[in-house]
Amino acid sequence: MDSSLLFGIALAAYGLSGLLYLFKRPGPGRLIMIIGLIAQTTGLSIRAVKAGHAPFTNLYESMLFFSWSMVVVGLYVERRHRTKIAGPIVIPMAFLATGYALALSPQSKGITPLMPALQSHWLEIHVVTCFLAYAAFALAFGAGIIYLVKERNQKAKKKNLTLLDELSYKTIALGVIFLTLGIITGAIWANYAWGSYWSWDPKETWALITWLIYMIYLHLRLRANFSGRRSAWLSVIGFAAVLVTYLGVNLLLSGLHSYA
Amino acid sequence: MDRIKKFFSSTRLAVVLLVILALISIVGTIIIQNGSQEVYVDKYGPGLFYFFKLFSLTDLYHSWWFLGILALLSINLGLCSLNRLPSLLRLFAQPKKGVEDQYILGLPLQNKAVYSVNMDRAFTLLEEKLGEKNYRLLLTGRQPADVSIFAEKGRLGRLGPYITHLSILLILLGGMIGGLLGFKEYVEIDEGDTVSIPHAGLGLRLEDFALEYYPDSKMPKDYKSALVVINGGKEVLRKTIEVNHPLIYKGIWIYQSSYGLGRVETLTINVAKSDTMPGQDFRAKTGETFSIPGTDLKVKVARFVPDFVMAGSEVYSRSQEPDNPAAQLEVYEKDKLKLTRWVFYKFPDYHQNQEIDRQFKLSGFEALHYSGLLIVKDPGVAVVWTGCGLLVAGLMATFFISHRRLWAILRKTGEKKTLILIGGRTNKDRLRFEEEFSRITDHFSGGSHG
Repeated sequence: MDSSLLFGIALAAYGLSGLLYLFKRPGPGRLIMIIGLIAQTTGLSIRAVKAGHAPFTNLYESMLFFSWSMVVVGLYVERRHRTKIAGPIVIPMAFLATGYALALSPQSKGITPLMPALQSHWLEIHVVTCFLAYAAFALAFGAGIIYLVKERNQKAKKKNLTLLDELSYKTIALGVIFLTLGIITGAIWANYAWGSYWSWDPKETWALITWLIYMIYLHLRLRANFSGRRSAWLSVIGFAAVLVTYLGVNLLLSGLHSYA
Repeated sequence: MDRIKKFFSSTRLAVVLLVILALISIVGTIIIQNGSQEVYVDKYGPGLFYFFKLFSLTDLYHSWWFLGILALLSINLGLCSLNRLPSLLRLFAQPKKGVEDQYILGLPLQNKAVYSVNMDRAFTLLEEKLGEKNYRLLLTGRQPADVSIFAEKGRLGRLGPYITHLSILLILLGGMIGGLLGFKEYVEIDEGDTVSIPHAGLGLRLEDFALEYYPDSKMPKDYKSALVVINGGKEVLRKTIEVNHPLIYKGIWIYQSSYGLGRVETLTINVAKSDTMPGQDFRAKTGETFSIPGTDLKVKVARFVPDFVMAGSEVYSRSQEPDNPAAQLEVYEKDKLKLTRWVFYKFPDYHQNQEIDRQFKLSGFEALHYSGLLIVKDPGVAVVWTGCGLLVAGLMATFFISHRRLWAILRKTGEKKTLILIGGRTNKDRLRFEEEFSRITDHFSGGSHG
């Protein structure tokens, strides 16, 4: 079975799941989302076996891995924090990311072998931790957006806003830990491959900037009067930094990291 | 003085510094760092370039003001940690006192009920359940009819932020040590050559360089250098390095960084009288001249580029790969320059000349590769890694370990009747604490409820 067929199934599943959530059928929505995840996991595995390397070495692969991570993190957060809202938050983003990947040109989807710099086990560890961080921040971003939209609505219940705010906080805490691991494993790898654990390369710098923004978020929340609305805005700004780190750097700037 | 101290150790200053750090770092990704003068003048003009240089914006991450901000942040972290130290120590050292009923009833979570068990049994049940949940139990008061208990777990969670802050100080310290005491040099060695490792009094010889491409592709699959480290004339280490697998000797790391076609090339120039005859092969290095026997002609190999490309009237090499090898020949007749011509390995029929009755072709070339090595010594690395490990540990302790405390009073109210007053608080994850608390209080009402 071709991996792209499985990714197509995942895309359809995520779309259907989103609709089910929209029409207030969370049970089936969640189930279809999980089916999509299984399809995508299988697809990524097939691709990895065929390519002989981990499935995140170009934009096509990394975008699919990103959408996969978002669903995984969404399901994990739902389970750990006993909530049902993480799934519906990640599903539209997972759908968009998967769709974007599949809409790329056929040349972008080709399997290319790894250049010497990428032939290392650190590739898996570093990239996976970074993407789990991106996924967590995406979830917090989604919660932040919904918070801001709901807050404008006079009928919004305070309880729901508080739930969204707390979900954002816990997800960002998780994201910060993954991002820290991602930056550190990146530094360890850079030390082995490039002679220096930190060279202020644009990608490294933007990962640090992202980390700093979420550190600011965590410290501002220690203050009693830091409102939910400001927190939500900060989670949006943070995700903007994530997008620059993940995509902006590769597409707009040059440096050691220009692989994807 | 107090106000100043308070300011320098405040969270507000920390947040301000983090924001400044983030904004400055962004600038450093927009303005190219450590580029050549031409690049800046080209893109920004000489005026702006002068402005950049004035404020070290071309190498801002090493500028005195950037380092100054890091120093300020370190002071902030250090002072903040010092401030927290007393309360942290109290957490671990102070003996716990018994409490009054009102205290327990005033806690965020509390429960009061009478159970049909005698006091000893109640105590045992409580001890059992708390032990199961990994609480550390302390008897804080014991009277014939009254027992008070203090239980807690997860104190490490309170240490979390402290460890995190110290770890960042360690990382900054490690970076500083590396910057002051370390070095980084890039060298290119031809096969067979020896270079000296700076600041170390060591020699490094490249015995062999191997390059492997992916089949049917121009993409390099692997490249390795077989190196020998020489200390005082003696070979002390032999190792083949490749990207991701450096050589380590006495704290010096040698990395396979890049490679290229070396500067020593032996070319094979084919000289034929006409297109139909096979012609004669001559071997020469760049800069060498050879004579064509039976004529007054001499040919000098003026220049060789592995990947010929022209920009305007300038010829240069687009890459180090032999994608378009070309040699520039100067043909002298009776020692006078008659003809200058480029000959191409891939296009032997291109540009055949009419001036001299000989046709020239570049029919072969041998170039040694040079290996691009990075030689680095960084004494601060171990400190940085320690800091990193502690950073992760500190963050995990902060977010995943909640500090929970329980106070309980057991009071005999009758024959086989005990009043249990229990209450608790947590610093995070209230939901799970509530669940745990219910499970504890449910434990005694397993039997009957008085």
